Amino acid sequence: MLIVEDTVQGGPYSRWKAQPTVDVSLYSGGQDKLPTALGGGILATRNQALAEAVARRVEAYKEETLVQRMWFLLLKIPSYALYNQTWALTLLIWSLRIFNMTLFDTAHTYRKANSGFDHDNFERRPSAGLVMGLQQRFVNPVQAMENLAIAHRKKLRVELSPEARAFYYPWYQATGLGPDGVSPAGSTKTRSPLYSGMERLSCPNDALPTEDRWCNPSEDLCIYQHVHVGEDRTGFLRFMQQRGFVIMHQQTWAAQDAERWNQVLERMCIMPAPVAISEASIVAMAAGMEEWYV
Amino acid sequence: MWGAVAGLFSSKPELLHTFEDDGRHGVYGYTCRSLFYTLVREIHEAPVTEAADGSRDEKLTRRLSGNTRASSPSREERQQTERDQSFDKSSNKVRKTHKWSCHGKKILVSPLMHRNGFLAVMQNACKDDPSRLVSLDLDANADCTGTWRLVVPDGEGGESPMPDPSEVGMIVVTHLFGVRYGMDWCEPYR
Repeated sequence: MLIVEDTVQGGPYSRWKAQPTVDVSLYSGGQDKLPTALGGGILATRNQALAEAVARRVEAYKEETLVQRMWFLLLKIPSYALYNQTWALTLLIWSLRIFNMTLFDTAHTYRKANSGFDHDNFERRPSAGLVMGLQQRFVNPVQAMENLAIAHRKKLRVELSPEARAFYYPWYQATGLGPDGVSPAGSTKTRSPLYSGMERLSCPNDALPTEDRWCNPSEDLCIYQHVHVGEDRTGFLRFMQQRGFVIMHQQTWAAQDAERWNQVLERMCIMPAPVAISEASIVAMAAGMEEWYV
Repeated sequence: MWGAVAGLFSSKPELLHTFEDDGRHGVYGYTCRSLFYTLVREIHEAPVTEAADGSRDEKLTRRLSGNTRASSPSREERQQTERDQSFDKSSNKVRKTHKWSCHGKKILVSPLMHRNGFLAVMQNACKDDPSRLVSLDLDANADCTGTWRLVVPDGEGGESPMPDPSEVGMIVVTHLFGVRYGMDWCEPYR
């Protein structure tokens, strides 16, 4: 029996250590993850025989070619510019206005067509370039970037009024821990349709014996940040879009019992990447969220 | 970004890496879901795994294959292996191809996952009997010490009995929405 930990969506890599209980941990190096290698992933295990067996299988796959890797990187240049250059985003917004297109629809279509990592091709050996990028990022993780992501994520929460914070992050309200509280959407045992039972997740940080016993989720480092926006998700998206913020639908589905979980998931969005935007933009985003809440 | 570009022209590097800080062994892959897919195939298709020194690690072999007996595989098990290995290699889109099963064992998963990644791999692995895929939930202790309890919701606000550990082949936990917790609750299944 194997216990596999999918850390693709969270957990700062630099502070992660394999817990004794876990046999295998998996990380993503996709563009929208930290640390990013513009694609790729890592399987980590203390089981050497298992690692070698998996490596042999990956080695036997058809290798990603130089052209494929270069093309993939070229396609990431627009994303890179939009994430990092204000002029690029401004140009895009003005262009969309001219052609009467919406930012949300454009971003959604673009993201689907140009994802941060290949969604198919499960049987492919990573190219030399991709492996080298993974080595650089995962052997020497960029602590400064992780710290920035953590700080920006927290910044958005503390900029909100307590009432708005309780609306957008109902799990924090339930725990009574404020912006450092537990984010339980992936683990809460919801007895009624929406978030009831969250008081069960009260887990005071000072009660934790070690950092390995993770209950403080404020450092999840998938590039997006999930928030609860209530029943009028479309209204929230339009409202924030008018202020230049691209909000996406959440990208997660229930393994089973979808009817129950969808009541939660259909009210959730993912906010822009906190690590990639300035503190001024975070303040402006919080102001927009506050206005929508009121 | 520039490191990734420079790497385009480097020689073929090793896929295996040993992390010096904690002794883990890492395998680089094309994507994380490709690695998970490969891991699941390895578990279900490789009844014998060689240890680092080339010797057969029988204990590991039995653990990976879910076979608790040390004897050679039965006829039924060999037929199952042949079925497992018969997936169509003409396309490598996981949703269309792999047909291996999970050897009759249950796979326990956390409630929310990405639909087209790990979840798709597991759903396909349990295609012959979807009831093998059991969605979990976690419940905190009443004293809020941060220790979690594993539960199987019954869909009506209650709980179903937990599967017997002998029935479980794999537990897959996804950390989503920043959920981070100790893994102590897995201990009964070790």
